[in-house]
Amino acid sequence: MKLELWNNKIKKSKLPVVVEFWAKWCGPCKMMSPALETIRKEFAGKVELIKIDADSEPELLRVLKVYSIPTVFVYHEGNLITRKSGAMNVDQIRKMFIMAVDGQKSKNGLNSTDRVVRLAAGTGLLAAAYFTGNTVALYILAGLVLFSAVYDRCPIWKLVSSKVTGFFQKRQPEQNS
Amino acid sequence: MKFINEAGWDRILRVVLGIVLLVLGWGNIVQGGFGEFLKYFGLLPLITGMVGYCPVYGILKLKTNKS
Repeated sequence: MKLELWNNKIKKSKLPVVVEFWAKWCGPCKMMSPALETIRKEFAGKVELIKIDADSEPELLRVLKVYSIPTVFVYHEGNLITRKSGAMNVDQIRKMFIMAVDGQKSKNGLNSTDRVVRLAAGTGLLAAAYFTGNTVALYILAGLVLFSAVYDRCPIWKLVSSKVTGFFQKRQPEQNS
Repeated sequence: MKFINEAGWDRILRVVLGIVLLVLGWGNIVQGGFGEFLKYFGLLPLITGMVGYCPVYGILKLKTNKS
């Protein structure tokens, strides 16, 4: 399949698309297959899963620079959101499907526009605090705004948020059972 | 991101407006009851500008960004 044909196929799809490049002889692909099927059913009607036999599409693999399998591509409204190579577990696959639905690269990360707007707002507030006679409330607000611009890169925040998320994820199955 | 309904210019305008209102309130440039009001009302445009989502736009199904 040529790249143009491929792009048309992806763009014509009304649903977000997850593409898996696999092969019959690929062990990790076989290992991942049941999990992928489970998630496909979970997202039925929301995400289209296309499985491509890598052996039958060498040209496409070359153009898309797929050097190992399994490799998964995630598209939203025709745009490539992310790609990942190697076997994935159910949670990792679910994350990929969620990314396809949301059309966002990372749930935790900020995009550059958000970061710039927040940094500018924080700096503006700092300047405002200084020029209004060292107003404490504005300094605190500036600190909060500046932190909101870089929180996703703060190791302490990452540690705390992962602990909190992990705690609630552990509790959920207990509540369901 | 899907929830964002403000264009770049809209967000910048809101952030600037928010900072101006907060300065007017906290800097005691505007005094009295209205000054007190501005101290907290200024947060509204500042936060909606930072986040990129305006609830009023959401209710009225308006958006200033293209996508």
